[in-house]
Amino acid sequence: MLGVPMFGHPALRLLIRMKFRGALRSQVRKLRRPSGWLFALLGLILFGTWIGGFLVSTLLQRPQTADGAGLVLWTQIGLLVVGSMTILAAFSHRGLYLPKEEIELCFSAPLLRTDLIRYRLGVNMLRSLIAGTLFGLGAARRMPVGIFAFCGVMVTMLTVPILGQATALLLGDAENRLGRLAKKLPLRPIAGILGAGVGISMLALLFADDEGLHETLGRISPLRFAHGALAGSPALQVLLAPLVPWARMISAPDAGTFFAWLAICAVVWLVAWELTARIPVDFRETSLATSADIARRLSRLRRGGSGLAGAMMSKPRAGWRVPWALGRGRFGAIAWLKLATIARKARGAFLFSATIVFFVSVAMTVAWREHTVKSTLGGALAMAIGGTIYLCSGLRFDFRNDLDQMEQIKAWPAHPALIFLATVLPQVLLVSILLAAGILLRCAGIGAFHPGVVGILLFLPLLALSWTAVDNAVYLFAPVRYAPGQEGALQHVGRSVVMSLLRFGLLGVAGAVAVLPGVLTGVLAEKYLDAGQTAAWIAGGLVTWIGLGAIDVALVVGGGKMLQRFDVARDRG
Amino acid sequence: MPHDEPVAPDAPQRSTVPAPEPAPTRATAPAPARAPALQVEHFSKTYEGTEAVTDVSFSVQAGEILGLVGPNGAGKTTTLRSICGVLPLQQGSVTICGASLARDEARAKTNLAWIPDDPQPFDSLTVFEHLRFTAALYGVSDWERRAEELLQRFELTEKRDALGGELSRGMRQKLAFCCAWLHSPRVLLMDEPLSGLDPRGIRAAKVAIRELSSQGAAVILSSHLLVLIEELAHRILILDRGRIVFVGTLDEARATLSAPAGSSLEEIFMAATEGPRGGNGSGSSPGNRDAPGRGPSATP
Repeated sequence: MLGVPMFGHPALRLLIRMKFRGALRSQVRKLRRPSGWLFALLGLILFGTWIGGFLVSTLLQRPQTADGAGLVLWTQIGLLVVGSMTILAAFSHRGLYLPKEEIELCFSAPLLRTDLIRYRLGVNMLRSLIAGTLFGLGAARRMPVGIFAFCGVMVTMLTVPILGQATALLLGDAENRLGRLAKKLPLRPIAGILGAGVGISMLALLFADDEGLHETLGRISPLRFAHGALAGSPALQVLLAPLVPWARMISAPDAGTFFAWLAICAVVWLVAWELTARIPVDFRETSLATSADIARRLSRLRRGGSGLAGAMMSKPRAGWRVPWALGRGRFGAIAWLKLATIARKARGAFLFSATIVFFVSVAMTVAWREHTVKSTLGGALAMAIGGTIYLCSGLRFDFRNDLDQMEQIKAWPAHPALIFLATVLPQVLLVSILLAAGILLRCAGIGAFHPGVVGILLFLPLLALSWTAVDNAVYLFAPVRYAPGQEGALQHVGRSVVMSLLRFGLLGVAGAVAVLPGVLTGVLAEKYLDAGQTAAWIAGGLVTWIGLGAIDVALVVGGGKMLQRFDVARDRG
Repeated sequence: MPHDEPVAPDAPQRSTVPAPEPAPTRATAPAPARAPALQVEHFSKTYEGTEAVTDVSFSVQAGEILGLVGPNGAGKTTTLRSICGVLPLQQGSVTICGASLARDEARAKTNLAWIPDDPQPFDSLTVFEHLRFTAALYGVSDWERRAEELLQRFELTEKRDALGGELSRGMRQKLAFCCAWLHSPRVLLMDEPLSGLDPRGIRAAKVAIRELSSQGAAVILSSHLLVLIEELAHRILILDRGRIVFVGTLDEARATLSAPAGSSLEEIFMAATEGPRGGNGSGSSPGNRDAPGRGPSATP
């Protein structure tokens, strides 16, 4: 091992320096345009507000003087949480993660694998300095000596990436063996049985009588359970024991204690660094898979697929027969394409959303179990509005998924508005069906129904279409491609704020234009036409429904215009 | 496991001068040297139980250009990526300029350059910084002059300060050529190297490949452009469903596959790879040895 520099190959150190310089240069280049300045300024204001708020709250907070043992215990628990999160994160970075532009180059270059590990350790440590600064500032006010706490946290945060990398390398090595074992296990039936068990339990809760329910919830209070476990669990003590040096260093009351523990932590850091760099694992195959996986995820994020549908992309699976539900013409074909994509690539996201709707229905039934009109309609309305916003933001099966296919889409022989509607309609229908099922489930749970619920159900597709159409039109107007870690964070934050304002502004105007005539109709019908309250509600609802429908038509036409305007040549997704 | 073996210090530092393209003539094989620059023996690769490449053996002499052809999914890219060390060697051995890829990986790779089918430059590094990094990676001294020469040769001088993220597909390909040529490799592997290049770029690339070969480098050129292979390669290797179905010169191919004299590589390719598709690893030549003229009809 003699002759191998501790911080890896000189070329890789040069790469780190050049990439840093390159990021700065890109930032400067972005500032050449007025929009770059404007968005950067907005981003700076937001960052400044966030960091400033954090600093002010930290400085204004009164120093806490907990007893030494308590301080160490809570520091250990904090470190345990950070460590656990790092280990969990390592599951998605198995092997040695290298970005796609580095992996082929580095693996085919005359570099030792230990050089590559050292390089990644260095990069990860530099990144963790930012988190270390924030955590350090937070800890400085809570510990006996601020500067020791800050330095202690920084040293700790430089050790955490080593833990993560070592875990990722060992996980990568174990993956093949565990993968083979997992293939032999009947995972699907096991998951099915577990899912069915949870579902049946929830249904039992849904239809249980109130007294039995309170008794059940009282018996399994999670807080009571957690308190009991923390009180003196030997298992927890064993888990916390390895964290003593860092906890003692951060909470050191004097220089002697701090430097003694710092020396120990430094030695541990050095040993951990060297041992991790020398883990004898051939990580190439796992790293290629991880790199491709993360490249796909980043690509989805850059396309704006930040919702659940972007995060939970299933492995495409053929074989599911997808019906041509909306005809066999051009419109039906485009809608079928979207439905087939959802069925084959987003099953996980869809099932997850269905589960969330199910749990929310159960929770609302349990929390608001009244047989009144207010409870029935109020619950349905809350689910309709809240559910539309949540599901439409999460289940994005729209143009964000299609950015790579825009060249073909724009060449399709159909009117842009038709393409726009056919693309967003499957998402709108799925969201509406899910929410309708949730609302009806709740009605069944509380054992009450009101005709007004039918009205709310009729509004569901229009609400979902309004939201989705505005969202997509704005997205097509200025597609934001950004993923965490990518350059131009300041500009991205500023631009996102502007786009969000535009989106909410449009939705506000659309909502007002749709609702005001309806309200007016209801009031006029009741006051001047002597219509009963129910008739006035029906008249107002009908006018609102027609108004919202007309606005949806306008939004779809506007979306078509945005699609027409979209310039594939300018797209650098 | 070459986890911590030192890098070989003897990175080649030759220099070349651009030359005009010679008239396109059929390539003639160089006289075989004693030890091949690249030797692949009994190489096999399996992905999740599916055989991608099965028992492939061949060698490439110094100064020789081997054309690697085969239908989609034949295992060409898998073979190249395994030879250059991107994929781990599951079975078999690869020797590059006398250094074993399994035992002395870093030294073996010092003599190697790899151009993938879709090179990915660093978004935030300029073209010239890519060359600077490559020079550091392969230990090339006095690299600036050579880098300028290469930029000029591949018509990238104007893009010297452009960022990697700003380059078109063809420009990325040209940058990959510059990086590969910078350390004057003794073994060069190229996967579809001309895709995305303009006619001038293609011409410059062909001249550069011939020149590198004439200076003693062994080149493997994988492409579906059979005319290109026919023009540049001294020998061809036809892979089909992970197995070698033929390796040798064009004349040997004509003789082995009973093709008429003067038949093109396209006709030879069709004859060598005909038969029902869709199966896996059912090549007709079980030996897959690097014997000249070995083909389906030569199978015992």
